[in-house]
Amino acid sequence: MVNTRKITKLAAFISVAVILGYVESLFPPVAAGVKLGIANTVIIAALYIHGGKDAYIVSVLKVVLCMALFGSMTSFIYSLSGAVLSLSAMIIAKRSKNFSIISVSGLGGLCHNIAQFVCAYIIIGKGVLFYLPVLCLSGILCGVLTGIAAQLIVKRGREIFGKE
Amino acid sequence: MRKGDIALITVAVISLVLWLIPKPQGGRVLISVNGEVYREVSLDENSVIPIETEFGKNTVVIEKGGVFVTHSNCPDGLCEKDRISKSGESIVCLPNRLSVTVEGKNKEEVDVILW
Repeated sequence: MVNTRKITKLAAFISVAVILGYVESLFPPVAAGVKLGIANTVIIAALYIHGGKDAYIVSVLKVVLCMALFGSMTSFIYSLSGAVLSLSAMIIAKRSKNFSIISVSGLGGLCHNIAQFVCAYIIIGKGVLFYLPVLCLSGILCGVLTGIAAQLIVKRGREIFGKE
Repeated sequence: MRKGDIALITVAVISLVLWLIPKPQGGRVLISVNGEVYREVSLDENSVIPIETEFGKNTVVIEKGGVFVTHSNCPDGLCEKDRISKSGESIVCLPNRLSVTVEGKNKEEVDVILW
């Protein structure tokens, strides 16, 4: 059940995710839709240390807070769809036991970008189609990079926070 | 290596190949705003096209067979980075809902690859 200890733990996760999201927004993006997504490390840490339900809370609140603090309504639609699809895919992948933590993260990055692509397709039209391979590739690569970081965080995080 | 890891690498490789496939030189430029065609122009004639809609302001320039966006009032300005000329390529300004797509020389020609 929700207790003070858990609320405090999740609040710590959310605040770190928001700060990482903010730090990343300070750097100019390499190309449209291509960014590292370093806050994803926190989401994966939440997923592996606390489980899927808590990871959802961290992920959705992170997106809402980032929008309220330094985002816009348009970017909110893209961020939220990306966050929800990516985390759902990561939870399924983790349960299937066919994915290592690094490729769970890679899949998350891929699904994040696919969700954003679908949003762009609905809003803009077929003009964005040619960009899909770039988004898929960058999503996987960035996801793998954050996955490597997440693997180290999960290992140490379990020692600090305990498995559940 | 688990099954999922291999599947993910496969997707990455396919994306890389699709990205690197050479595309033919385009002939027409299709400018759309909010999913609707705004203007259609030839890629061979040099021109400057100001676009002003409820979603924002952009300036599209066609020069020497290439298209680029010289001005945008959106916050990120990402669309000002690219210059395109190949069929199927496009420049997109998400905040202003603008897309500039290069298409083949003739409408009948099948030259846009759909995945």
